[in-house]
Amino acid sequence: MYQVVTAVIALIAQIAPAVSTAGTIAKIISSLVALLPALVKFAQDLIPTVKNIIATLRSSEGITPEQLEELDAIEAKIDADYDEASAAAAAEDAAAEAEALGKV
Amino acid sequence: MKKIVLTLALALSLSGCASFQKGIERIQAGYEVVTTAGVSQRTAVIAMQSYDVVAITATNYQRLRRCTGANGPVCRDPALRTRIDAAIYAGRSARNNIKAYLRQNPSVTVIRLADYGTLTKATDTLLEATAVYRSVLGK
Repeated sequence: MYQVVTAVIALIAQIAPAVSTAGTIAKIISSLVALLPALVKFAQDLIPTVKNIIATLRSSEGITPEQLEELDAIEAKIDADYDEASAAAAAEDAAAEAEALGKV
Repeated sequence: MKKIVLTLALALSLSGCASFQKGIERIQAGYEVVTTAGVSQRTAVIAMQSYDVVAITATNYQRLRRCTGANGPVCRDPALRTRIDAAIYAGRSARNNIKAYLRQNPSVTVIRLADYGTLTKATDTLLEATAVYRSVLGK
């Protein structure tokens, strides 16, 4: 379920930057709001980012320094999680390739 | 679950077919280039957060076990790892550049296209690289 929710959010996120008409923005906002209960249940790590997307879509003004600080905190975790996952994947690949070479 | 299906349906209806959506995006991007030589702050901020969402998806993908030929279909293709890494680091750098620019110029309304373009390209690459993974999970 987590992955399905993530995939839906990724799809909406792909569309959102290209949208400028008020009616479509309102539909995207209601879609994201409708997803929040599912996120609470299945994908809590996406909630801050999704809430920020909703806030940005709703706002007609620019991003505030406080929102930038909040983004920094969220993104520090996103970046660190990715780096950790990528390093683990690289280590797994290196071990698999070493084992394959050993068998030759 | 019903809400997720409805949301997915709405997202798909908003996106339409892929080629139509690409065409719309190109027209909008072209319009913004002609009219502003940049994109609005809001467009850039949403693009940053879109990148973040896709980066979380990429993280989940990198956490999968390496494909062995017998553990599919939900597994990690080792051939994609470096491609995803490159897109993540390019997108991260562009996202951080935009944030730094916003800090230095809090009242700016237009974000330069170079960083925005790099960021959206990285997001597109990540979506493309994880497309098979996402489609398998959607079934």
